[in-house]
Amino acid sequence: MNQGERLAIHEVLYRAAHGYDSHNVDMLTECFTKDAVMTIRVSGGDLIGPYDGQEAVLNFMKRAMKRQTDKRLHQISNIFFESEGEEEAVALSSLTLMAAENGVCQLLSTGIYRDEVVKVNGRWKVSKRHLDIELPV
Amino acid sequence: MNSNEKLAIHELLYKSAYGYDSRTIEMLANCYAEEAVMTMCIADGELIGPFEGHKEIMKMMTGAMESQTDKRLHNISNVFFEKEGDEAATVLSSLTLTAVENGSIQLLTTGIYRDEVVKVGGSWKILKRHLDLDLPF
Repeated sequence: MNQGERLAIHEVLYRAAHGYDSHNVDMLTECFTKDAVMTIRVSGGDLIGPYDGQEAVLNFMKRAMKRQTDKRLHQISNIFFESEGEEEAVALSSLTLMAAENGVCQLLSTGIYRDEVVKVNGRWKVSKRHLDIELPV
Repeated sequence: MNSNEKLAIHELLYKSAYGYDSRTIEMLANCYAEEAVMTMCIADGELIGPFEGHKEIMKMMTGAMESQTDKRLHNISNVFFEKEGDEAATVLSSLTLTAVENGSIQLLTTGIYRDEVVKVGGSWKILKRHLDLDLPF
């Protein structure tokens, strides 16, 4: 996989983060395939999900957005590839989640994303996302 | 836009952060085009600025530095492109601002930069910068 493709996958992860934080549902939707699946595990507890399909993934995220009155930042870092191909790849990345509210900015949690990404019409999208998060948010 | 150009723009954003934090005025000044414009918005409040032109932007920044007794780190992450061209591009990035003073470190605020960058004499420079900050800095 060349450097350009790697950067394009980095950007999908950043767009998904920014789409959520800015409540830009269109940007967020563009980051997931139609058949995307998402699961979450909080503090090594029971598996949450799977949310099957883009609509289920987005509905889950939209419900979470509505509950959150603070301004969030999903900072993504430490991106590396577990497998690489021309049309699919697996990327791991670290999450540092922060929130600002009532004049205070707080570190809420950290976590690790494992994303299976595929190329759809020349654009990388997340087809399977698992988030291991250290604390409930 | 090839990956080298994208990485050069990433570096421009990092240099502008480092230039401010290390108070390397020349490095900071080199990041902005002569006709650069900067605006800010704090917690969805009123627009601050525009600061028009290189001289006015640098005056605002050096004034802010002088009022800050702590040691700041502008951590830039989640860099992705809204528009890409050979001579101009629009790039979004996340800010996590921390400060160290009297033996303690604080998370001051988070924010989002939206930068319009242009190539001047073979180097990328910021032509228009808007910062949405979640809390006052």
